[in-house]
Amino acid sequence: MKRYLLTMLIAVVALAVKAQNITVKGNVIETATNEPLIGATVKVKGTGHGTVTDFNGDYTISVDKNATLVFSSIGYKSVEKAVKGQTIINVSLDDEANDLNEVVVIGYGVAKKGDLTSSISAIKGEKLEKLSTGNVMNALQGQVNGVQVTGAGGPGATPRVIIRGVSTINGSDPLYVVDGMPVGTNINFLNQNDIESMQVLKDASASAIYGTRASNGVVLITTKKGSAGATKFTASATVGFQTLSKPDIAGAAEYEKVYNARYTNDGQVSPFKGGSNTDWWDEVIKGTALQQNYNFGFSGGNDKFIYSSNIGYYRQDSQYKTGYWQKLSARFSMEYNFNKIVKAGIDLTPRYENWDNTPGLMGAVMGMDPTTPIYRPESEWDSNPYSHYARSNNNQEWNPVASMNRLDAGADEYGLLATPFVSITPIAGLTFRSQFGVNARFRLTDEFTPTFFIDNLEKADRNQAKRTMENWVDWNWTNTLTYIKTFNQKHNLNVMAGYTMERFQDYYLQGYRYDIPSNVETLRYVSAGTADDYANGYNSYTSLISYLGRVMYNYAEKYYLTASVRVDGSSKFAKGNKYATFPAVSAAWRITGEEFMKNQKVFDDLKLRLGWGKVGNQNIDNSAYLSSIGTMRYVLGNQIVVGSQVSGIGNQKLKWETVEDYNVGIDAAFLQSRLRVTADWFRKTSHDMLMKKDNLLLLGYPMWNGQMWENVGEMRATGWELGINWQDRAGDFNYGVGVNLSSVKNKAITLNGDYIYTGGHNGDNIIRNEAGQPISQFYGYTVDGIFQNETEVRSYTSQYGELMQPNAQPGDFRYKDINHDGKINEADKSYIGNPFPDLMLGVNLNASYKNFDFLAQFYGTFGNDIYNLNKDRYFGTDGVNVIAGTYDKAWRADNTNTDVPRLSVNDANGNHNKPSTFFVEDGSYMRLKLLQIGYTLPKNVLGPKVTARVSLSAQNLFTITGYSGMDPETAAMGSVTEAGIDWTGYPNPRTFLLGVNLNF
Amino acid sequence: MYQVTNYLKKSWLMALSFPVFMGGVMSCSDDDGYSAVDNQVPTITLPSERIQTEAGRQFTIEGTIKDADGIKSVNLKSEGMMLDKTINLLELYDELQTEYALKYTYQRDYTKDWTDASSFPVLITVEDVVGNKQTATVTVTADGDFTLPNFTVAPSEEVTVLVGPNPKFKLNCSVSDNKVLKSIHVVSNDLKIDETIETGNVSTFDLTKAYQLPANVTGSYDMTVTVFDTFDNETSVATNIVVSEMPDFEKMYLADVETAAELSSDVFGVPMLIDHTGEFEYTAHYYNQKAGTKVRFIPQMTDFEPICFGPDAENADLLANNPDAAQGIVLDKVAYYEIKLNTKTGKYSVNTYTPAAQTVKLHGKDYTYPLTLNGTTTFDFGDGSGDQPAQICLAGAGLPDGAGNWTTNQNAGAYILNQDAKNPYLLYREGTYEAGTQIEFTISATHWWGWWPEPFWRFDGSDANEKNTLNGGDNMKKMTVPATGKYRFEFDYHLLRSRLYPVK
Repeated sequence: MKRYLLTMLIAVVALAVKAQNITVKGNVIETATNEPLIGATVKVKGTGHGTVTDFNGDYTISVDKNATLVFSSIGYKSVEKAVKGQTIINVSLDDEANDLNEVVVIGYGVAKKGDLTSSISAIKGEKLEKLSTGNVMNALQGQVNGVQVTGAGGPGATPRVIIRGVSTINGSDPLYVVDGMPVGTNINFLNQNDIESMQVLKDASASAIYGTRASNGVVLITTKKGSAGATKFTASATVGFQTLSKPDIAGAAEYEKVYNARYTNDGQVSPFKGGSNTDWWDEVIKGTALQQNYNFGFSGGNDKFIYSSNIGYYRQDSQYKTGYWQKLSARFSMEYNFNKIVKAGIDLTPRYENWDNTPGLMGAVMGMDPTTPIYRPESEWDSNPYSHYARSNNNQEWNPVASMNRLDAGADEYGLLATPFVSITPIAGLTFRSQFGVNARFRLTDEFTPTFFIDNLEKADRNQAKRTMENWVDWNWTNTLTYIKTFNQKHNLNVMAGYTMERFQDYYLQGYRYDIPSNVETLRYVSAGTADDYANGYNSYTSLISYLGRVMYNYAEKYYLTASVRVDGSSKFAKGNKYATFPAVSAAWRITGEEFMKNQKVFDDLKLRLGWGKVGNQNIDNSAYLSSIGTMRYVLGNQIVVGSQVSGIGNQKLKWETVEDYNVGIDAAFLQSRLRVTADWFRKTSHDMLMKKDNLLLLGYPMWNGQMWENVGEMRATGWELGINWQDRAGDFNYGVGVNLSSVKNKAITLNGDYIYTGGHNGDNIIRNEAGQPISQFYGYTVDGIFQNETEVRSYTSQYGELMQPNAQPGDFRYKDINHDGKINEADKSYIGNPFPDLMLGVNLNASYKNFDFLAQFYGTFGNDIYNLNKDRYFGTDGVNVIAGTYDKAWRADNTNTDVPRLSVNDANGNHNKPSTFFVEDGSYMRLKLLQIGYTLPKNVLGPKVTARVSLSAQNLFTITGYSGMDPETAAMGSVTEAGIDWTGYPNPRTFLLGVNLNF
Repeated sequence: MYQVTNYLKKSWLMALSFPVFMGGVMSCSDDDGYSAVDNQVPTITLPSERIQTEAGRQFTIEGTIKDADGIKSVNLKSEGMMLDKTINLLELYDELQTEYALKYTYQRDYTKDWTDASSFPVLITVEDVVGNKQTATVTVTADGDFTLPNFTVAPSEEVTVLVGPNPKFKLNCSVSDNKVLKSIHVVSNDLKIDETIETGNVSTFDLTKAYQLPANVTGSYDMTVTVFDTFDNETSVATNIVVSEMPDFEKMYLADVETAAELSSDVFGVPMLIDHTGEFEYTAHYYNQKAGTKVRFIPQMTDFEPICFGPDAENADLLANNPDAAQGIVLDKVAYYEIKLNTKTGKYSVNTYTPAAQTVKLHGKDYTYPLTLNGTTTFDFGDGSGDQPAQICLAGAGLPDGAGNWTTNQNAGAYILNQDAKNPYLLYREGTYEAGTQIEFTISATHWWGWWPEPFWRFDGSDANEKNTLNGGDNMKKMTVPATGKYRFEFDYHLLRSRLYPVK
């Protein structure tokens, strides 16, 4: 009876509920663009009942008239609307980017942006897609403060990335982690269109969870995932061309004039041999080079299964008449919810890269004698076309056209990044996740060097075919247990414990032979060689196991405390020193959460952050602690025999290099969060810095250059960052301004008493690292003007009349006697420049009006110096060509008002041999990195289901700088101990692109 | 009220103190904040108002400067000397200097073109730290003589005179001076000679004089010859005259020059050391570059006196040992010669020959003489540097024509030798050398990396660099260029002899 009554009651209630339902319709749009949001979730609050919007952003749902609807979509702030009997409810969702509830990826987990206690910068993938580039880090330049990205120009070139300055000499590259899989220090392989978001962990309190390899910061990259809803397709095409500004190099007439003057000024007879007038730049460099980027993708899913995929093709041609780099990459991402407890998924990213080497002939092109013809007279030709070229008339540069045409080197690389995982949530808040990632690369490199004879000093008597095969197979098994729980609605706890295992493997094999019967292309194989076959090969492994844990706690989203620890064990260190612990603690106080701030109107958000942590560095040889024996070829009698030699000396006492980091930061929002400000101060100090010391005679090994790794140094980087962002709208006009400022000072604290000299310049060094000094400063003589007459030369003496520059003549540099000892020698060198900037500035402007949008990104560095070697290399030394105007600028008796010394073939005074202030220039620059104008086609053009946007972009459109070299950005490249020397590298090209994006 | 009064008191005191303070400042201190002590001009004390020097000589301007206020700077100015030097004492010394010993040397390079008539006033201006200045003038004249006279031909340290009834030592010397010679003083206590020969007002003088030695007695006699110029600068040479029977000379030299002066005008290598093959027996190997060359043999390096071997003027089949009687052996072919001689019997033979084919091992590979060393063939040094042009250079210091310093890198100024078109064993190069330049080098194959690979030749360790050694030997002894001019370096890798001598 009771059962009957209960059944009846349920039926009545159900009928009553049914009776109160109404049908609600509406449209969901994106606030910023007024575009319909496809696939947005519309859910009845507190139930599992819901629907998704269609292509037009429209939805229809039957709900109780008193229900509350929750509108949500990934990347947007959720909105709740009470139905209250309404049948039409239209909703506009705000972008989550400016929201403190935005979820950001942190190491081995996620957190709300507003809950962060450490310094993490996040940027969305769509912002990175704006700039078309081979390496997505180029697009990060100026977008994130504290991250210095220096572009390298050429196809496939890797930019230099420095996060928060330099605290070690062992590399500056951050650790890149893609979907939880550490992938090393180069992400050229990654398609920028695959990136959902990028987070830069800048301070140790954030990055210590990556322990051993986090001293240079960590970049977390999350690739795009599917979302529940109808399948969405995207397609984009970007095509354009790039150009290089032609450097102003002298023509044949001025070259001859300078060449002869160098001899006659020294009282010698010029051996000049004239002839042609060749513009080597035009012969080697193309006017335009093609750049292409195509992508096609789709994503979608339902409650059980979500998927996402993209196929992309990118190609950048070299500005030389040979050389290119292209990559074809695909990404397939799938996740399946078996039930409420178990979820599994996989991201598969296969790719293929292929390139022909881009020549490195910029220096030869600029230095080559313009009076030399490209080819010798046809009457001197033989059957070998590589020998038809002319030898330089007046210098030792090799014919750059010949070098370019001989170049036959390239590679194919195949790769697969796979990150399958399974996730188990047995009880609410507790999740176990296990991911086994594999990153495999296979590279095949072929190189052929033909025989040729142009001259005794420009020839190859034997041809050679070489093949190199290198495989890298890395795997990573990451297991984490995460528990997230809110107690009493105020105590928010997020606990994570984990265990990881990683192994990195490198397999290398190289073989080559000489004396291939002919240079013809069909014979360019190792097997065709007939003599002197060589083979080299090795395996190299390293492994790492780690225990990690983190507790994140906050009270009422007001007081935050995060603590993490990672224990790493590395195969790179000897027993007893294999393990190291990297702790971190950080705290934050949301001041606006306090009662006393409730009534103030100034701040919408104000949070103070403090952080401390230790991170590690193990960028040393895999076998640094092992003494090793290698093969060596000896000549015994008349025979070459293979023997052994001590090839490496191990240090059993080696231990981790540790970087200790302090960070203080503040986040603030004003004016209804339209203005956001983030400021940080930090100090990173490395301890036990690993250095490879040379010439250690104490080793007693029979090696002429005994080397051994030691923990001997200490460096420090101190700096600040300031990010200011304004975003607002006025009717249909949306606009935003972002300014990122950062400054860092890098200093060597101790270097075990040794100087580190780098940067060769005519037998001397340009850079000296010294304990107590900023790192990698230029070190040289101070030019104190030019001797204008014989009286000045004769009077530049010590107090006793000893000539300080006995070889000087009027027109030569006068070097400053810094220590007043009456001699010009090493003791008069001082620090004359710093390659690292005082300030880095990124300015980002965006605006949209109706269907038009506009984007401009400026980036610049200020206060950095460049050692402009072009002033030596293209001043006629050794008969090379000169920068146009050199003759007029050089000192002459009738041209004394100049800072350029006289032309001299002997250069007895060492104007060009001595590193000096003459070569140091202010490398500050401000560049319009990207200018983009877009137009979204009206709905009626391609139909309501298709969104189409066309854009015109110009990259590196103009640069404001006082630097006289080709590109202040590439000139600032180099390793941390050898930065800022302009070796005449491949400059960053100016690029013009037309883009089309389709969503349907 | 109290405050106002107080304020007025303070203002009044300040108003009074200001001019006192300012007066003190204005009278006692310059802009840099130095206070005057006596506010007097500096004193300059010069040892002489004239400095006498000569062309090509450095000299020193000396003096003592004092100033109680403290010396700021000393300026030396002479338009004719192209000198305008300010010695800033504030920059040089941490402490304020009240006394300064001026000792400023004017370099000799700048006086090279001066003549006896050259005369330059040098204005010395001293300023103290409070602005007082003092000047003095010293005049520099170039009419002095501070250069020693020298012997262009001098007797060897030891000469041998054969014992006999009428032995004589023929002193044969030439002297010169940059200005005017006065006399030559010949002294031998052993021979009771003390003689002064006036030269007259000349800058060069040749002296040839025979001195009688005791008859039929062997012995040893010291003699010193001293030359004086009119400023009484003097230079001496000492020789030891040994009177003996014909000795078995340890070293014998081939001289292909005609005069004693030519024996001393080279940098090294003339005359050429020959082989001592047995008692009184010697063998010379020599490449005759010019038909008709006459060669003689001498046991002393700098003179044909007192012993010189050559065909006797009266009996050409035998050698004479007297330079008056010894004629040159005439070599009438351009060829290699082998000359054998016996200094005791006087017998000798002269034959031409062709160097036998020879195999040498260089960097592990066999090469056959003669080598092609003009850059048209290559060496593989086996060091990974690839095939490189086979050519020989001098890698060293003091070489002419902008040669690189100790480099074999042809791109960095290696001093590459020419290979003689007729004789592939002969390498040579001519260049202009500066007097006084010190020269040392290794003869080496060129190398792009600047290394000194095989083949290389060094020397025998003798002071005169008399022989060369393939892929071994000692470092060359530094040699000094006697006079500025064009010289020819020759090296014969068959004979293993090299020389650097003036081109006529």
